[in-house]
Amino acid sequence: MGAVAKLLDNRGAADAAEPGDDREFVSRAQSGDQAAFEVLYRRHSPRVLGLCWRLAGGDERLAHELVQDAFVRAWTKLGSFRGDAMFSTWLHRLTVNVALSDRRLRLRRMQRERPLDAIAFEPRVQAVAGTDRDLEDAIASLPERARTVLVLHDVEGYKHSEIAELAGMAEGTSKAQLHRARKLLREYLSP
Amino acid sequence: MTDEDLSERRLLERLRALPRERVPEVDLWPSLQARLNRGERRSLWWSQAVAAALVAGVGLAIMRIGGEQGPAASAIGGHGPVGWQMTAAGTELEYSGVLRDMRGLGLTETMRLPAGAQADFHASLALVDEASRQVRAAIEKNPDANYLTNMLASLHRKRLGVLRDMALSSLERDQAA
Repeated sequence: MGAVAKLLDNRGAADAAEPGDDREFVSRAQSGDQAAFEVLYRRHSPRVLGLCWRLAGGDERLAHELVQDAFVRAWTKLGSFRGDAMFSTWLHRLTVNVALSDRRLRLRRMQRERPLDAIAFEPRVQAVAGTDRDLEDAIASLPERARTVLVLHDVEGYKHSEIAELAGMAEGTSKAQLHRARKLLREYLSP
Repeated sequence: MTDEDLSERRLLERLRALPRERVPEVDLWPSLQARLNRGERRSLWWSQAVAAALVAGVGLAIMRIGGEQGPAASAIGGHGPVGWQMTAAGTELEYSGVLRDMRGLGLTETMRLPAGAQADFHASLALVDEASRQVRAAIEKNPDANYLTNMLASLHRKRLGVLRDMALSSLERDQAA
């Protein structure tokens, strides 16, 4: 039995799935216990991947790299986690920071962003209307900044003030980008 | 409630109902573990982040100085077409501030580029610099001429555009390496 399996087995699989039990594993990981960190990774990576995948516009490979970057950063920063917030909240915010500062995404943003009045919204894939796939494709097709704000605000529940701080933009810009994103999505999804 | 409100409400309901989790197609732990054991190359990471910040910063500076965005962008984004309103001194101040920031990062004309591309970029910069020199001389003789200030702002915009392209090329080169 591997180290992680032992840890999970000792605590019971059901308990191990509870995010509230992160503290013990965080504490062990802070002491350099990689097996404990793997437990945290296995618990939280689906959520982290879901976030990275949407921020990366559905680019699976880039999303995988961002997930790894986020967990590497979490490992190196774990010492600064004091437990004031839940580990999942801390990790989520750290992931957003990693994704938004990723140079590949920033590069794409620089290359693809155009003045607002010159946006040509061209969905990449025609999917069946009314399905999640249809909506995911529409989100992935949004301009980078508009997609970032929409994902963080409407899907992940961040406030404009938080997005402004994380993305380094004015709060008004965040609101404007959200308005723009929703408008583009409605246009795309309308029959 | 209008049709648009209804449509937006339905959209928000669908967005909030999207699954937040996604299962990786492959197990990422082994490669992640390898990275943890290898340790992070912090210095490289920081240099890349600084380069990316530079690219974004230059883009913003171009918008600030040149005001290339249209009225819609001005109303929404907050960076309006201010170039035509600025004095020559204001334009110069804004531009020199951006250049100072860039030099502070050590990422201006010394960015890593292929030799041929470096020569092309420097030739472009030299042309713009010579034009700027002539316009500045004209402004000294006729400081109230708005068209000269506009011309200078336009030249600054062009120079920053060249520097931005250099930064992008440098980043792409790093990315390919």
